[in-house]
Amino acid sequence: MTITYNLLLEADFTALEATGESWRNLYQVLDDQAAILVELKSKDDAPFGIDNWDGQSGEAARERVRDVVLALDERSAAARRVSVAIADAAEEFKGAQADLNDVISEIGSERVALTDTGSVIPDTSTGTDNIYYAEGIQSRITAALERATDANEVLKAAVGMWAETFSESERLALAHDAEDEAGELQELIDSGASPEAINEWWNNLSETEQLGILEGNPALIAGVDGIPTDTRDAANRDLLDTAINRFSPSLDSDIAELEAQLAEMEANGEQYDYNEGNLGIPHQSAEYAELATQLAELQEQRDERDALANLQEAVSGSAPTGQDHYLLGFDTKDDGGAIVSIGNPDTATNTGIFVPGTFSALDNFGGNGGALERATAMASDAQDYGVPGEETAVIAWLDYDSPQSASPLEAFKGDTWDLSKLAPEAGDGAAAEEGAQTLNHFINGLDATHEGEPSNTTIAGHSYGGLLVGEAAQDPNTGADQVIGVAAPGFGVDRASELAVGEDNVWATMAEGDAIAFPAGESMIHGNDPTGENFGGNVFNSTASGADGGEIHGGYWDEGNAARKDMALILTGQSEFIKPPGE
Amino acid sequence: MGEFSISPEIVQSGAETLGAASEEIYRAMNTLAEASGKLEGTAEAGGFAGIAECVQAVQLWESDYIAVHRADIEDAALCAAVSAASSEEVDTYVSSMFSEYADSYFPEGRTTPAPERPAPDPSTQMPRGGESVAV
Repeated sequence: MTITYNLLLEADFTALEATGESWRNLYQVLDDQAAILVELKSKDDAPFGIDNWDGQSGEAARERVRDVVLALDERSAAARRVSVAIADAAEEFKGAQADLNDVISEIGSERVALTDTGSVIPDTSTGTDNIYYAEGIQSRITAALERATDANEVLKAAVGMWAETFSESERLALAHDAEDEAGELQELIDSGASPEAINEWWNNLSETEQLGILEGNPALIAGVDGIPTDTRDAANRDLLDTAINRFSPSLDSDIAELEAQLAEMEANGEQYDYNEGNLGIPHQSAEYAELATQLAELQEQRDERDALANLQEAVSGSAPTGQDHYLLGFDTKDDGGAIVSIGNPDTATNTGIFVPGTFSALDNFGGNGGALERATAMASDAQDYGVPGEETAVIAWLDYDSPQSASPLEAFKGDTWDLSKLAPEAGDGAAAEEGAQTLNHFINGLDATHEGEPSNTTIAGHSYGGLLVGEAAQDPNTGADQVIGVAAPGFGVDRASELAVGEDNVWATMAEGDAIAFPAGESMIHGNDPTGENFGGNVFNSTASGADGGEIHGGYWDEGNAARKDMALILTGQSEFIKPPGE
Repeated sequence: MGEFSISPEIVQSGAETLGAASEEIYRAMNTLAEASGKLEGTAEAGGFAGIAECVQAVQLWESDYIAVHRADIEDAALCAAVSAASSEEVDTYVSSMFSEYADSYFPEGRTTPAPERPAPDPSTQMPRGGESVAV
């Protein structure tokens, strides 16, 4: 719908702006209340925690609160997006109105006449000069009206989509109108376009086209480096919701039924086949084996569903720092993975990217000691020790094939041997080398989507993740400014000077008694020990937190560990305040 | 998940938190509805499709989405409050039933001798009304 001259000229956008503010207030209230409600069940001693309410009814109550929090979180995000859309539109409308008023005030009434409908009539009594003058004026008026018309279309599409006022046909139309653009993007991706090129292309689309691609093809943009964080987050959340909903609602009861059937067969001795031809040795009956296979398949589906649901819960609401979570990717293939940012890296002054090590997988990503918990601790520390007024976003990045074995001893599982683990995966640097390329591509994407001055970017890896960030930092085109290895077995090089970030920007720590200290110090499988004297670079303090080498290896993010403050100082560009080890 | 147990007062406080959340959301939605109400019927809402969509969105959220969220929240609050209160009532009821029926619950059906408390030593009993009840 085209905005007319009189409409724009006389419009008052005060009420629209007030409505936008109220949407923002609603977003804040929904977000706050979701954060309050999640506390009802966040710990065992919380009001609805297991210490205060156990049994089926307690479990049901926790489940209800979880559902409510997820729903409020989703609604709050929608309200925020609506408020932003209204604020942007109001600004554009007022800008267009100001453009119009400017033109009107500049019109030389002796040369042209302006009608009530905005038409410009030249006075041709003195020649043809006024015709050109009138055309110039008319085009400026038209431009102002087009500016308002565009903003109007974007507002309608954004509100229709985020507030869910659009009908199914309107949604389809929005997606349909952006099909050509979606095709262009697919071609760009297939051609291996850089994140910078993708970002430039994306920014040249109208907002309506961007919304159309998001509505019709979320999978196309969810994992693409160069797509802005906010948009990528919306696409991934949409896909995550779809992925969770594709599991059968009766999955749990189907599993329980099969388990009961198998238990009954075992109790009745029907799990074995005693028929002739077995040389007198009973073997599993075909029916039992079939049911056991079905059960294993369903249990695998349940594990995958639960891992996705846990991820969804982990990224709901705000982080303890008050920053929003951004879901930049997830994957269930093999051990699975996810990329979640605490805070928006597109607008943050500093960005930290945390890469977890061996045994990392989707199912432990958001749990205790998982990548997200550690990244959250780093974001919190950066807030505590950072420069006031500067935001630090920290990203938990698990987008590589993390090793699932670190020692040959893991090959023996109870009564069987897993021969594939006799040669531990953590001893092989291939996953780190491959992951480093993916990480650098991701960093380049963040560089492209970052607004304003470039962000100060630090990549921090724990254990095998340290090797990965070291491999990434070797690339002359890495977008990282600093690299941190926490209990890293090596950076894949013998000297810090071999890293592209420069040895002054290389940091490492290893607590006394860490289980990996010996491999890192002696084996040199992955390069010299980054904390060794001959390596160069910088070493920072850490506390041996834990009863044995394994606990110490995982204890660097424990409350009070000296490593946390130093990492925060590095992330926030204040490494000059780090005290030498031992002080 | 273990056996049923509940701390009624603490769970009740959780129910109140849920109730308070619903009220906060109601107030925020009302504020939005009032602000949006000023747009309704205006030339701006009539001429700008985007602004009309905003008005429609508020109406939909007020009558549908937010109403449903609040109903879910208050449902959970009621569930918690009822669980807390009924567990207390059940506890009181069971304890009253215990004193009423405990001695007569197995009058006929007992297959083993009823357990007997060792009788107190009469010599340790306090005198009643100045007289020893020891026999």
